[in-house]
Formats: sequence, structure tokens, C-alpha cells
Amino acid sequence: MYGHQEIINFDWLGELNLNYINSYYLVTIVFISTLIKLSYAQENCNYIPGETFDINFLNSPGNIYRSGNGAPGPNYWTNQADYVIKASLDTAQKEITGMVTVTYTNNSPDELNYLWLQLDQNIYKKDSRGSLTSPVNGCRYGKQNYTQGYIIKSVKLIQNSDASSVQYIVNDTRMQIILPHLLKAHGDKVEIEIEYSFTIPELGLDRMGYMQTEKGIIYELAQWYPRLEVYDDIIGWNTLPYLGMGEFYLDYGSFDYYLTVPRDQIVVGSGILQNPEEVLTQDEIKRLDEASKSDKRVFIIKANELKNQQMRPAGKENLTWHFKMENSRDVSWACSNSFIWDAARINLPGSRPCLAMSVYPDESFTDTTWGRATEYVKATIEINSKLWYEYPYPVAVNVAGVVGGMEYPGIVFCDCKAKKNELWEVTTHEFGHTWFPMIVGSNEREYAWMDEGLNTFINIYSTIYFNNSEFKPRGNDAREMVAFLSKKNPQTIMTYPDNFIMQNFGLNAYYKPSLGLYMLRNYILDSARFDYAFRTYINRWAYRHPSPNDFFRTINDAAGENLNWFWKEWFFENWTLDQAVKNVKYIDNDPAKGTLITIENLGKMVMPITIEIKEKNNKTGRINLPVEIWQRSGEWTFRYNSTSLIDSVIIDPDKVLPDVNPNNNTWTPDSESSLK
Amino acid sequence: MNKYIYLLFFLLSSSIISFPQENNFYDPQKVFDLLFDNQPGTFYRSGSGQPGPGYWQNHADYKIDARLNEIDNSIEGKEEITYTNNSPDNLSFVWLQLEQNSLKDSSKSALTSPPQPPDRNFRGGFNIKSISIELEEVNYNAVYLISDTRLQIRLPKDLKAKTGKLIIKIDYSFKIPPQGYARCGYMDTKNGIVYELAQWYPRMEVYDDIKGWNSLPFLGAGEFYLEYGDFDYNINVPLNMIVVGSGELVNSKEVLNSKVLKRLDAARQSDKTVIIKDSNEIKNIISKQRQTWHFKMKNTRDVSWAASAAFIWDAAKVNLPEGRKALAMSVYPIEYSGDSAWSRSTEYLKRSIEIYSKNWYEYPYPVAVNVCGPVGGMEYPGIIFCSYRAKRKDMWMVTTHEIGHNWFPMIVGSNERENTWMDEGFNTFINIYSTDEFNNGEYAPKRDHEYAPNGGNPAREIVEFLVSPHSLPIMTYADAIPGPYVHQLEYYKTALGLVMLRENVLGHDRFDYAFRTYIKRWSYKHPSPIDFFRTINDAAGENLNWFWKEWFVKDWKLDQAVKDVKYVDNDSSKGALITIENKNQMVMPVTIEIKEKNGHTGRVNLPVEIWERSGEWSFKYNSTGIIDSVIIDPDRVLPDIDSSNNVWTPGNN
Repeated sequence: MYGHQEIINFDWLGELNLNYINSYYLVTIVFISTLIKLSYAQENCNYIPGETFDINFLNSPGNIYRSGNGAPGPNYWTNQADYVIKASLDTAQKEITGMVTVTYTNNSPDELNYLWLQLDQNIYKKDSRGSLTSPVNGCRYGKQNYTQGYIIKSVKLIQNSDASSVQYIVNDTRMQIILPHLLKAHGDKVEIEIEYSFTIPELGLDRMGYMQTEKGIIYELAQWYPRLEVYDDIIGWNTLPYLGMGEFYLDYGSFDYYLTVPRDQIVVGSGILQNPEEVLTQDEIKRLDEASKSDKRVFIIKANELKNQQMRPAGKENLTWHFKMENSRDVSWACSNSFIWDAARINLPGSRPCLAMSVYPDESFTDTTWGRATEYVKATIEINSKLWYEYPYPVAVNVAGVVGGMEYPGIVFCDCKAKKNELWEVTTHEFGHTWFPMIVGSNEREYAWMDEGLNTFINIYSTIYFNNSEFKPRGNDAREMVAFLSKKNPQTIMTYPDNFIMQNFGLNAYYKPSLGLYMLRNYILDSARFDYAFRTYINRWAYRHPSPNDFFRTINDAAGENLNWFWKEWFFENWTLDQAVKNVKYIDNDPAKGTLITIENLGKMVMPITIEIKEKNNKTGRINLPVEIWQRSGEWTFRYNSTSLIDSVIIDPDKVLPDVNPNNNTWTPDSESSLK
Repeated sequence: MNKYIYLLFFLLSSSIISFPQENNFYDPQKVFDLLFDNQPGTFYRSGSGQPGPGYWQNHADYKIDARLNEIDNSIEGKEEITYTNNSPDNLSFVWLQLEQNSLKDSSKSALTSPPQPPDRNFRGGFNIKSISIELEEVNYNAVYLISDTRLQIRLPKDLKAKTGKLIIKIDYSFKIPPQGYARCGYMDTKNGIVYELAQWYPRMEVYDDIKGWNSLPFLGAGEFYLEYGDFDYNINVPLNMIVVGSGELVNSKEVLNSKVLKRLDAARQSDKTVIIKDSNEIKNIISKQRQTWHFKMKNTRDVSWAASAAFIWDAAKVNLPEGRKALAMSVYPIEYSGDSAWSRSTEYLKRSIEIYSKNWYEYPYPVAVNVCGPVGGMEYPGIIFCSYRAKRKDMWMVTTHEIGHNWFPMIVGSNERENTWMDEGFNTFINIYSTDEFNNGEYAPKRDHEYAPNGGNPAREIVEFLVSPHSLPIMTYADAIPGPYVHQLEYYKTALGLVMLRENVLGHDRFDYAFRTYIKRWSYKHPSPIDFFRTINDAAGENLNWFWKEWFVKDWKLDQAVKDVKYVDNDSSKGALITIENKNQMVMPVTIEIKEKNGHTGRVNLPVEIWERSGEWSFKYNSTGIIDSVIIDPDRVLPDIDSSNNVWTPGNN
């Protein structure tokens, strides 16, 4: 086929971040001005029903840790890591010095000889694997800053309040601690104390860093203390190095952390501030209290109060901010002497108190940008809590800074230059991550789609429900994605994040899984069945570590549908869909006696069918056929009770499927004769 | 993570960026395979590769009385097996192994073996005289079926899960095969016949959590898979014969005279080999009188023994790391003695055990015996059979190899019938280092038919085999590998894989800790290949699935190449952009040596992850002048199938 032009409406793109404006125009121009020639995978003759409806797919039995229905099994366990962290920020050296005491509980049925910890800061070393695997012309996140990584001053084992040095090795972003005694199964605990420091990288892979603003520096701190790797029933210790693309996999525990910073700094962090009376003024405390009762934004620090001595407790020495967070996989924080600070209450279904806050510099403060940040946080959390699972934390903070968009429990870092729909989208996305992976603790290092894809999916609905659909959702238009899906894409959703060719990552981690769920909800199942199944997944795996199979099996189980054909074709393979109308024949050549319509499945991917038939007498009818028509062959004939000559037969009339070749979706008497 | 940045790339990808044109062979997703070995662990086998909380294995204790009939070279035996069902399953039948049946004309082994040179007139096999069983204190005549080398006993009622005990009593006899073509046998020597006995009693097959009963027949190539238990056995032989066997002789005072006992005591104190019975004490007289040698061995998967009137016997002590002592002994006919042959056997045995014990895991048995006889080289617990023809380097090699098997599969009880590499390959690997260490490398480096048979650089010598049509995945059924290639594939390739992991991928510290962790976790247990892979991943803290897949599961090849060199702004002092390629499906980390005209030489090491997204990689090298050459794998430590593209010189551009 030559010269086929697919007009794609890119209104939904909106205006991209300024940083990317040039590229955006370039993209748009290329799209509009170029005839896109799509080359379709030559698989038309290759549809083999048994390959798609694969009886061996996902057929291994469940076990006592993970049940066959996709739920945690009777002996399901996760280990626990509880942290006490004392850290101080040296603003002159831009250095963090800290001591972390972690109590690790081995709930597993295995004895452990050694522990593995993550030393994420080591990725910023010049010779780290992350650095060495970054292309010459800049790392995947722009300019790379090198640091010395973590400086480990001591690693000690605490036993009966005695600290003794313990043997350890550091390899790239991992640390192995060899325990002098076995850590016994089923609840034995070990306490490790690590003294460390690191220099804050300016651009920390778009996940942390610092930024100079007009009135001061904004520090965004994450991956800021040595963290336990996850030991699980699936592969034991999960020690994939931090290379950049693959995010995190963490156990749950409690956090008790103390941040010592210069007195002029305002600190926001995951969890609840324990000592407001020590670090805030009475005014600020009062305003916070007002905010907790207000659906409208209340300023804690206004723009005209920045740098105002009255806004900080009297004194000179550093202040220590004390935060606590329960049942979390991580904590992050930010601080600055240039934060405007506002807040409003969040109304949760269970009427538990909850506060949305935003901190941002003066120059980000307009009515169309960060002035609405708290409104976006509040709406996102209220909508998602109602639709899926209640937001579990008492506070939610949105921080404006150098990081373009990054999620942490109860706190997110969003681009201080984001505006209008961008700020909504990035906020609803980053806070959407509360559900995946903060509540549902999947393994991000291996399966990006389990947090990014599921999150992109729920973002569709938070966007639809926010302020009467003020903004347009993304990731739900099948035909828009055809151009990408039908390219000779060598990768599948089930690919290690670090293995994605850059241009495939957005597709396979975000948009393709999101569209997959969207089609499941709205086309294959229906909202009643899907939503129940999806909530069942969240409920079953909240604060746990689901594997992809647990997700697939839970949806099958709760929706009561064997969707293995879909999981395989959409998540495990890069197959494409090409449904076609083959021919139309009247019974005894008399349309009044009915019509035999033959349709075809030409790609390896299958979907249920919707067909619209228009007759000359203006009667219009729709036929829905289940996916099982493709179980035996790629061709299917059915009878339609026509009453007169047929004007047209259209497959997928609502254009909700990613059909790579829409040309053969329509039959008209003309197309029949032209074929002859 | 923010989606904008990905959105941008997502858009660009559809219109502007064309996907890199990979060379035909390399697909990153195949080797960095997210779905490889990603099933969760179970109650029986943890995801970390260690035995799970519910790990179990069954147990078999044996009492055997055997009589060696030297007139017709046969064995007559009575055994009593006490089998304990620790599994969570009730068993309504049990399977035993009858390996001697492979020597029947109609056996699967005979029918599937190429014509065998030795005595084809020999017809062997077990003659089963009677089988009775005792279950829950009731005796029954057994209902049984024999199929080739397997014996199934159908029980009158279930052998109960977790506690059930079954006693099996079997009376049997068999003719000893001549010359040792069934891993046992006999041969004539000047002063009498040497008998080497193995697979000499019906043995329990393994019932495991992986597939239940393991009843693959014995075809010849695939070795054994056995349960652990305690052995108590009596060997009745003519008075003039010396018997050596697995475990400890418990009635030495009855069968040995005081002179011999005294020398044995002396040997237990001596690092130098002490003669227990010398050439003057051998008289080739037929004795009508007989005596019974009584041996015991605890926690072992098997016992074997040897007997002859022609044996010279020597011994020396073995010093184990924790201070415990063991005894190394050798028995051999006089015509094979001498410093170039069997007179050094005990020294080789002693040092091998000391080295392996220090490096990997302490030798668990009180005695180790090397027997000179017709079997070319065969391992049994605490006793090995080595060829009477072995000399010098070969003698060292076969001894250190066969005794090395005490670690794999005697201590770590893998399934040899299926996974030859897990004993032969691992053993060859530890042999490489014992050879380096023995007597200041007297026979080092290890180069023989097990490892670089042509004596070359192992990493490069193997290429000829890897690119040949005979190359197969290491993970092939032992019996499905054509005979001539078993050593190349299961010994050489496996060992080289571990050498590369140790020397080039993980380093000694991490590899040795992980390998020791594997031995410790799985000693006296039954690891599967996945348990090995996962344990190394877990203890070394590295996801090596790419390596397990390319080297063990697939027979993919490596071809690293230097593609081109460009100077930044055409100025060599501003640095050079060097582009390298991975042209085949296997990947490895990269070492590159760069030589400049000005004499500067530098090396760059790049992790394997550079190949995660594409088969082409460019990096910047801080050159100071014009580059003379760029060499990939300069030390030639990788099995690169095409070394012609490993070197770039200015002429190449």
C-alpha cells in the first residue's frame, strides 16, 4: 500500500514544556507535512489461533506464596526495613552527611547469610555502570553530573546496643553486608548502622538535584540514604544495579528521620512533621491549621513574606526538622529558603484528615501555573481515593524544582516551569504513583509498566473527572497509537526498563499498557467488571510485591474471564491488529432473506468485533461478536438479517481499536466490484 | 518518572528516528530476557536458589552382604534397604535402579550404543532371586516389574508421607563385566585379578519435588542420581585379597595383621606416603579360605569397592582446614608402580583433597582411596577408579578430577543423569585451580582432553568447537550428546564459563563467595540448574541471567568488533570516539586497549549493560595523540569467534 495518509489529531499534545518547544514544533511539522507511509508487518498469513489462544500460557500452578488466582498465598511474606535517619545539609558544600540505623526483619522462611543494600548515589560516579552505559552525547536525562557517590564512613552491626564493624563489599550501586551470624527465618531482626555522606548532584537523573532560583536554591533530596534491597520469594535478593531507567524496588517499614538544615530553610518531606513548634512560627502553625479546614488554598508563606525574618523562629543555629512516616517504602524531602508555601485540606472517603501542600519559588507563582498546584494535588487524591483505593498518608506535597517529574511517597517533585495542562498532567501523574508503586509495591527495576502503565491509565480518569474535564486525557486513543504500534518495533512491554531503546520506552512503559487497560475496561470487559477486578488487584497487593503474573491472574480471576490471549498479544508480544471485512453475500441473492458477512483477522493479535451495517433503506444495525470467533480460524462468517441491499459494512466503527490497517475495515458495494 | 520526556521520544520515534539497523544476529531482548527464569520460588526451593523451608528429600539406608566369587567373576548379594519417605506425598510404588541390566543384550543401552569393542560375548545383568518388603511391620512378597534398568515395586498400601518407612530385601547376583566398560569391572594383572565394583546393588531412584520419581534409564552416558543415607556393608573375599571401599573399614583388626595395622597408624601421622603393603608381600596364590571385610559410611549417596591379591597399598594423612585429619590411600599392582605413575598417586590424592577442602568445602569422609584398574577414571564417594595406564600429568589429571567429584556430585548431589555439566563441568573448573596450586604448578596449567585438549588458550581454542555443527547447548540431556563432544561441551565449555565469570565478570571475591554459598546450601541435597543460577545471582548480587541463557541454555556465539575510530573535531588531542560492535547473539563485558603513536597505552573496561539496547556502542576515549591501534579483548580471554575484527589500526578506516 502506498501513500496512505493517516491524519492524526495532535491537539491532545497541548503545549509541551518550554524545554521541548523546538522539538515539539519539529514533531508537529513533520507529522502534518509528511505523508506517512506505514509499512505493516508482514504477518497477515501468519495468524495461528493456537499461538494467540495459547494453552501453555500462564499455566504454571500457584504455590503457597502466590496463589493460582493471583492473590498472595497463605504463606505470603515480605521483609521489613525500619529506618531511623539523622542527616544534615551543608548548603555551602551542597553535601549531605547522615547516619542511618536500619532494623531489618527477616519474615522470609529462609535464613539469610548476607544483606544487600542499594547505594543509588554511586550512579553519579564517573566509572559507575550507569555512567559507562550512557551515550557519549549525554546521558538519557541530559547532562550528567559526576560526584564521588556515597562516602561510606562506617558500617556497624548493633547487638545489645554494642556496635561492631561488619564485613561488607561495595559493587557499583550495591552493598553486600556479610552477617557474622545467620539471620534466622520467620521474624529474626538485625540492626545496621551506616555513617555516610555524599555531594548532591545538580541534575540527579531527573529524580533529585538542586536548582538556583531568584531568591535561593531549591534542594530536592531522594535516594539519599542506603536502602535495603528487596529479598523476595521470586528470585531472592533483587540486586539489579541502578542504571538510570529502571526505578526502584523497596520493602515497607517505618521511617523516623531528622533533617538538620540552616534556619532559613523550609523543609517538606514524606510523612508528618513531628516538631512544628520548634521549626515553624506560631503564625505558620496557625495558618496550617486553617488550611486543614479549608477546601481553598491557604498560604502558609506568601510571596511577599519570602526572606522575611519574621517567618522563621528566632535564633541563629541550625534547626532540626523531625518527620515520621509509617508503612512506607521510602521517604524523600526538599528544602529551600525561597519557597512560597500553600495548603488545603483533602476530603477522603473515610473522612480521615489529610492535607495537600505545594512549595514553589516566586517565579513559578502564577494563576495558571503553581498557583493551582495544591488544587491539582487535592483533586487527584480525592478522585483516585474514590475510584480506586483511599490515599493512606496524612500529607501530600508538591515541590517545584529542577526535577521534571518524580514520585515519592507523600511527596512529588514537579517541574517548576510546568504550566497549565502540563502542571495538571505532571501532578496527577506523579501523585497517581501513590497507587502504583507506593501502595502496590511492584518491582519497578524490572517492570516499568506495572507502575507507569497502570498510573497512566488511572490518570485518564482523574483527568476526565477533574473540573468537568478541563484538560484532555492521554493514552486512551487507539488510533493515535497505531503509527507507533505498527512500526517494526522490536521490543515488547515485557522488557527490562534499562533495555528499552529510548524511543520505545514511552510507548511500552506508559502508553501501550495504559491503552491496553483502557480497551479492557471499555471494550473487552466493561467498567463494572474491570473496575471491580482492578480494585481487587490493588486491595490484594497493597503494601506487597505483586509480579506481572499476579496482576494478570487477579484480573482473570476477579473479572471471571480468561484474558490470557490479551495478556500475551499485548504485553508479551509486539503483535498488531488488523481486522477486515472480506465479503458480503446475499442469501439466494436476495437481501431480504439475509446476508452472509465474512470478516477476517489478518494480524496475530485478536480482539472482539463490533460491526456496523448500513442498508440502502437507511436501517442501521450493529453486531458484536466475541473474541472466541477467532479461536479456530482467522476467517469468520455470520448471518445478518438484512432487509434491503447493504450500503456499507464497517468493522470497528467507533475506531476504538489499534487496527493497523483501517483501509480494509469498510466494505461497500463499490469496494466489492473494484476487487473484481 | 515524568512522562513528558518519554512522550517526546515516543513522538520522535514514529517520524524521525528510525530504529537502529541491528546487524542480523544480535537482538538485545533475546539475551537480556526479562522472562528468563522468572517463575517465583516455591515452598521447596526458594527464589533465592536456596532450599526452601519445606525442602525435603527421601532417605535410603543400606545393609549389604556381598560375596565375590573369583572362580566365575560374579557377585552374590543380599541387601536390605530402609527407605524413608520424607516427601509430602503418599507413595504407592517405589522405583529402584538396576544398572547392571544395561549389560544385557536387549538393554536400551546396548541397543542405543555404537558397536562396543570389548567383550561382546559378555552377557550381564542382575539376576534378581527374591524381593520382599516390610511395610508398617508387615512382611510381603513384593509385586514388582523390571523395565530395562529400572525396577518398580508396587506397594500393597501407600508408603505414608513424611514419616513412612519401607524395608526392601533383595537377593541378587550378577556377573562382573570384564575390562570395565560399565564404570566397573575386572582385569588380569601379573599377581592376580583386580576387581572394581560399582553399581553393584539395586539402588533407590530419587523421588524429588521437581518431577517425582526420576526413572530415566541408564544408557551409559548419563550417570547417577541417588539419595543419601548410611551404609553398612560386608564384602566376603578370598583371604589373600585386599579390599578397599567407600567409608571406613570397621573390622580392621580381624582382616589385617598387626604389621599392616601399625603401618596404617604410621601413615595417619605422615605427610609422606607410607607403604602399607609392599611388593614383597604379594604372593599370587589362590586362597580357598575367605574372610569378610566390614565397612561403614555415613551420609553418602553410594558406596563402591575394589579387591585384589595384587595390590600394593600405600597411604598418607590429609590435613583438613579445621584440624581434622583424613587418610589418603592408593592400591595398585606392582607393574604400575613407579614415580612416573602410581607411586605418586597418594600424594596427588592428598594434595587434591587439601586444596579443594581449603578453597571450597571440607572433605567430609575419613578415607579416600585411589584404585588402579581397568576403569579409566570413575568417581565414587571416598573411592575412585583410575586407569592402570595413567602416568605423570595424566595420572595427576585423572586423580585430581575423580577425587574432585567428591564435591560434585558426592557432596552436592545434583542429578547427573540429566545435568552432566553440574558435576563434570564444575569439577573440571575446580581442577583448573587445583592444578595451578599443586606443587607450584608442576602440571599447570590444566590442558588436557577435558580442558583445551590442543594445549592452547582455552577461551580461543574452544571457538573451533563452538562454531562447528556439533555445538549444542550445555543444557542437553547427557545421553543426547554425541560421545565425541561430551567433553567439549559439558567439561570444557562449562568450566570455561565459570572461569570467565570468576576472572572477567565477577572477580575472585564475589565469585568464590557465591560458589561456596552454592556448595554450602546444597551439600547433601539435590540442586537443580535453576538453584545454581539463582544462588550465584543472589550471593554475588548480580543478575547473570544473560550469561546463564547465552552460555548454558543456548549455544550462542560471541563476536566483538571494533568498528571505527573518529577524533573529536578531527583533533586527536581532543579525544577519540571509538565505536565497537557486538555482532553475534552472545554478550560479554568489554575490555579495550588503546595504543597511541606517542607511546601512551590505555585500557577501558565497559560493563555488559552497554549491549542492553543495541549491538553498537560508542564511547569517548581521552586520547592525547594519533591512535595506533584499538584492540578489543587484548588478553584474548573471551571466546570471540572472529578475532580478525578485534583490532583497529588507522588503515582500517
